[in-house]
Amino acid sequence: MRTEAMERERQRLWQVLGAPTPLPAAANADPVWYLALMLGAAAWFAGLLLMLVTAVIWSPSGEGDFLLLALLWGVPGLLLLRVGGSGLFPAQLGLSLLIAGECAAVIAIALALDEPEPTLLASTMLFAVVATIAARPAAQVLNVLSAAVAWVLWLRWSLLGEPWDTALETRPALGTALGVWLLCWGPLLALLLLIAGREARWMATRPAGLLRATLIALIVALAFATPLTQPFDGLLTRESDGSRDWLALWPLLSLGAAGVATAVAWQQRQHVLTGLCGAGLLVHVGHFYYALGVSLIAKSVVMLLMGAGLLGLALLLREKRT
Amino acid sequence: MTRPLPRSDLDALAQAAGLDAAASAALLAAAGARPDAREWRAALQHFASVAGVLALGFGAVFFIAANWSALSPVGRLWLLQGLFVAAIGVALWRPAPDPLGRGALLLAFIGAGALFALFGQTFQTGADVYELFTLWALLGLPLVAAARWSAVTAAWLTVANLALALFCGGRLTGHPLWLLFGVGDSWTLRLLLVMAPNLALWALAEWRATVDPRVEALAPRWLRRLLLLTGLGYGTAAAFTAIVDPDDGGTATVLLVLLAAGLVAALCVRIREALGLVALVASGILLGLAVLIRVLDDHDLQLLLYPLWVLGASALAGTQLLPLVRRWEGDRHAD
Repeated sequence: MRTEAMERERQRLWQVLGAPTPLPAAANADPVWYLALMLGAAAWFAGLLLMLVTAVIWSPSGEGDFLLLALLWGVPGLLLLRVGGSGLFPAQLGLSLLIAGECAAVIAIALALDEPEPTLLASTMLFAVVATIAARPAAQVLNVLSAAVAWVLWLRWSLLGEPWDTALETRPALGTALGVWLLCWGPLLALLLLIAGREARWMATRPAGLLRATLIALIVALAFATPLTQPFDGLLTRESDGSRDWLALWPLLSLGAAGVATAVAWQQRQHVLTGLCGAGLLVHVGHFYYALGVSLIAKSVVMLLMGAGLLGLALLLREKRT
Repeated sequence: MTRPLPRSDLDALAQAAGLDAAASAALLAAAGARPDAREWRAALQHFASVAGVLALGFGAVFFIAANWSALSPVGRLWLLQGLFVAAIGVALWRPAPDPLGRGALLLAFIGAGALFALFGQTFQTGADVYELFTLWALLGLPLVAAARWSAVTAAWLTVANLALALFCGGRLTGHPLWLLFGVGDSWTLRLLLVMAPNLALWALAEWRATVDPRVEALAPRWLRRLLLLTGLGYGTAAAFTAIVDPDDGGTATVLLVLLAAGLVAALCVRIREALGLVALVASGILLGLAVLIRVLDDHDLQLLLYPLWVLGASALAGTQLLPLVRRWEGDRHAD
């Protein structure tokens, strides 16, 4: 959307900057968020359908077949995204082909490696590389988000075991639980704060678009941290045997991470993302309630202390304001 | 106050002027793109008030759940009633629009639902679950009116929608309402009974918002949009199912959804609500896919038409809608 008020604001800022050259023409503004969301979702859905239909029609079997499909769909997809110009159809087609190609690539990797953890690590690298070379925000956001999820799953499953491994009876110690959470989510949290904090350093550089997309993807990833990577943790994977499990602290830690993501989204004036983060905070509280391994009494004390602390903070800030 | 430019515009300006870090920071400050210390403090205070009340409420709920088996039925009732009364007390002490009072009213609304559930469980009233949610929604209305806050309205709408969905999903045969509406056993026609109140409420809220500024506090634009999307979601699900499985409602469902879509489109054009048109397009793409699923064979290259349809239709609709959306959103921000 481009209004006269926005144009006036651009001119005012250009004067503030005191740049010697005339004000450059405004580029096409980004599509409004809900139209961009509809287009992105349609392209993603079409990509999944394409992969599904391809599998039904040609029945690929080995890793070679899927690798061929990945190249067949993914390479033209990437090219279309890079050279598609401003046309919507090439962009939509490119994104769909890329998604279909990436699905095929992940299946090929899984068939070749035959183990979940190496597959997740390889997928993390694949998504990260594609995010850097895909020239559209939608593709970049989707790939960074996928890379974040694959990264966390790789670390968690490598260090704590796979969730369906019923033979795994040992519960991690407090230090291990905290350490693994920090290893999983700490780098993403640090990256988010680094990108947001150094905004002024990179906004005039070429990778600004990629960094903006990374910022959005990391906010979404952190807002839904634990449920995003382990959606049924504490709900369906096992029943409580009454023993202590420090992994129950993960939703609480993720609540804090989601709080940071909310603050960054608000600082960036991203209202839709801020609302999404608010929903994420509530999801984490629900997840904490259902997480097994810590007594409900302990959980209730934590929540009561948290509530008292927050209300105290609110009172302190109120007094300072007056 | 001027609305800050989008970050992409600021990036473009910074790149065109070849700014260094210090100059870029000055640009961000001049554009008001980052909140200042006063804004941070106000937002943090607001967040801490609401989140603090909610955390205390959740803590109380966790505590009751932890001691559930240890408490007598009367003890459970007293505890929940105590929580409810405490929340109302806080709301009276710091009435809305104070964030503390609003948070307390939200807590009271949630607590009221827990109290109804416990009452039904303790005294074995024999009521259906939908009756609990209906009662909760009806008796929660004064709290919604007192709070005049979108979070409480959103919670109320969630409960009301659950009541409707449970009623329409659970009452399979024999209810007089089905005879009244001529619904019979059709699942898709019942989905329309959930769609209709959502869309009617949306239209009512949009109409009242133009004449009564208080509606903005009760049901701001994001909530009205959520109502619209919920209603269209139910309509789309109903029509999709009716197209794929014509034995369930069939033509009647599709025609009713088309009629509702037409009315929604007309109102969206009148109030310049571009999101409604985008949602209608998304709904149309899904329904087009349902038609393809219905008419195409399953085992040949025709299947490739599925992704092609989604791609082509979304790109075409995007191209057509983009200028309109930009103009309407631009006009709205200029007002």
